[in-house]
Amino acid sequence: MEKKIRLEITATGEIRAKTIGMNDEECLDYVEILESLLDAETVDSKYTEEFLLAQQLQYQEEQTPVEQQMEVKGD
Amino acid sequence: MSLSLTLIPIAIAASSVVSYALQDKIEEGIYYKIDTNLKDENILTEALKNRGCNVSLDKRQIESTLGNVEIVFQRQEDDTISAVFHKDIPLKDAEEFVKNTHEEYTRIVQQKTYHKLVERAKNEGLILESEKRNEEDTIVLTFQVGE
Repeated sequence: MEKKIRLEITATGEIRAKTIGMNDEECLDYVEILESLLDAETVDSKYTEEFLLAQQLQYQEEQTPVEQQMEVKGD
Repeated sequence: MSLSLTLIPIAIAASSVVSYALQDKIEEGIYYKIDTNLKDENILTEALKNRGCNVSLDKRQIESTLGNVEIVFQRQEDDTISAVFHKDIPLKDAEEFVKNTHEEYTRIVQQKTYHKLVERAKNEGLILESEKRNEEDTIVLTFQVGE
């Protein structure tokens, strides 16, 4: 997936930013970069639903015994 | 995977109270003030001039006149700027004046933020892919992230 950043600069001066296609460490790197680029401070941040879902799936895979994983993959 | 952020330019106080609140009348009731979340006196001066005010800026305050009405802006301890009005000016008119000035101020902040971003993005490896202004007057920009 191509890595992108989508920014919305509202008429009230607020800026909303969304990183797309990045892993968690890369996402966090961009918090500081965006603050510096925009002369702004972060007042709220949250991972999107898709990110949390991906993390949950990864966790489940890590918890699943190797044999079970092989069985699933075998299907 | 993605992360959503909300950022506030340093020219605007990151306060949960975005609107204005009437504060205690000051100087024995001769003047009253309306607090704002505005912080940058240069942008405020520009906003006032755009609204047709005559503006003079000294170390402690901004004095502006619109017609025969004098309005003083003073920096507060929390670094925000409040508007001070004579008691003869109706509160409704004062609130309207502050509201319109606030809108002009944030419009300037929006433009400055946009120009700053477009100028600086390349240095961070961000390539502008698309930009548009939507019906809510929000500027939407998408950048590709270079490897």
